[in-house]
Amino acid sequence: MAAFPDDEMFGPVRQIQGFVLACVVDTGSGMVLGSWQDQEDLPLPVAAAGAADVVNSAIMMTGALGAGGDVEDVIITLDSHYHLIRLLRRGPGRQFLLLVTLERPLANLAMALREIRDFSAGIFAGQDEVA
Amino acid sequence: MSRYRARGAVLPAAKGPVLSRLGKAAASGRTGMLHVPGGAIYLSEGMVAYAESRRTPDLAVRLEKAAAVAHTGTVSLLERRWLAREATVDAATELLAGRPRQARFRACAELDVSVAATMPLAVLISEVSRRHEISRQMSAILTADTVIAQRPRLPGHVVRVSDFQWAIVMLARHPVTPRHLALELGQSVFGTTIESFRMVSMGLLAVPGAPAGPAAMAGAPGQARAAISFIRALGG
Amino acid sequence: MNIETALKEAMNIDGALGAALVDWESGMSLGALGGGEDLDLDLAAAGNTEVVRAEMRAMRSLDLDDAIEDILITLGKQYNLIRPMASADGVNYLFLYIALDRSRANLALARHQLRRIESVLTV
Repeated sequence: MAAFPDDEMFGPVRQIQGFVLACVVDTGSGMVLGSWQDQEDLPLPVAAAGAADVVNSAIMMTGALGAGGDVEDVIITLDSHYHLIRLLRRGPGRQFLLLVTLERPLANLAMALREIRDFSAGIFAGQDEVA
Repeated sequence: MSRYRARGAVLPAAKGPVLSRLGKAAASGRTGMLHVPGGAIYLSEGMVAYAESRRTPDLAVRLEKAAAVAHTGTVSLLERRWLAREATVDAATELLAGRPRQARFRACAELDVSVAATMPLAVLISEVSRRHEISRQMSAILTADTVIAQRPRLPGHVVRVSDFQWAIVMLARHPVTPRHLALELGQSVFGTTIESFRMVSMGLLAVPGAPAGPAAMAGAPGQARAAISFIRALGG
Repeated sequence: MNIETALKEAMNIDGALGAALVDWESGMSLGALGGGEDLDLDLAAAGNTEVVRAEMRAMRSLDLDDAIEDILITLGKQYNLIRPMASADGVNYLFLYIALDRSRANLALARHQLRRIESVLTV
């Protein structure tokens, strides 16, 4: 069973050509906050855990990279899939990631990245309320 | 797309008197609270609405701390939802860790909860099991109740840490446990324990009195064999 | 093409800050060029090794037939490009790594050039 299945949350991203799955994951704890996949072919918890491991490894490495800056995204190109991982930051310290997996033959990487960047920018915006 | 065959992604099924009572209440769509030693788990029409534990921060303090550190002083709906779920999962992880044997379910007519924060029981149990497995993997080095302290000598290479990690390192000027830090910072006990573990592997914190572990624990990023792997926690 | 030549060609890519051929089983470089104050190549090699291992672990868990073509990490001011080396007998734990200055690099071109270097490099 997918954790916190959330078709509304991922609306725009589900339209991306070649869409397989999407999820938002807390990189600190590895918990999936929301997810969507059209079919259950790929076990989402495993994809989410893999993305969190990759991002945490990349973040650990930034100490070696001097003034290179913070990790913004990771793009993993496999023979038949893209795993597009975008870091979502809300305030200091709290890092979520957005993972979108696409089937390669169908996907247009440049367009997909633009969609994902727009989606990421808007994900925390426009919903503020006083705590 | 049958080229994918997953293995190792199945987590242990819920067992024990508490979980079975919870399972029955959820399956019959009950609304009410299940008292367990140390706290309670709330159901609303069979879904898990909230959980609280004496040993984890409650939602109110988490919201307060989150708003305090946010640049705008407010918390977005998405983050609020995450905080509510995190409060629930953190508490449930604590309550179910000791395999409690007693539970009393008290039904009530309705529960005033935010629907967005509810989750199916199976999802909660799955996440709790995942966290228990990660805690088990960390337990060789530390648990939520292990005393930690700043290392007298900082590592020789550059490290970058998040604000949360920095807060942990700073507060560990005096020996303290991850649980104590979590309650003070309004952060999850589980999350604080993981970050403490990461700080130990990065050489910023130590467990006083522990034998001077393998070189990896105080080593450079590339040697972080003791690092947490979420894939490993799923049995992969 | 040998390792030294491959690294020199990699350093000729626009925006290149450093390049290395890394064994991801050990995390050590077989060869490295460039780097400096802003880029500790040894640590970067070790760090990128962890990234590759994490992805390999994930793929093993998924029982995937899919091979990694490359991994791109975008940072505020740098690109880190990792290209595992293909090998005929399937026993290969090497990847080519290059760090690029984001303001000077043409990413599509750099990926293409790194792919070419990897295809002619013999170790």
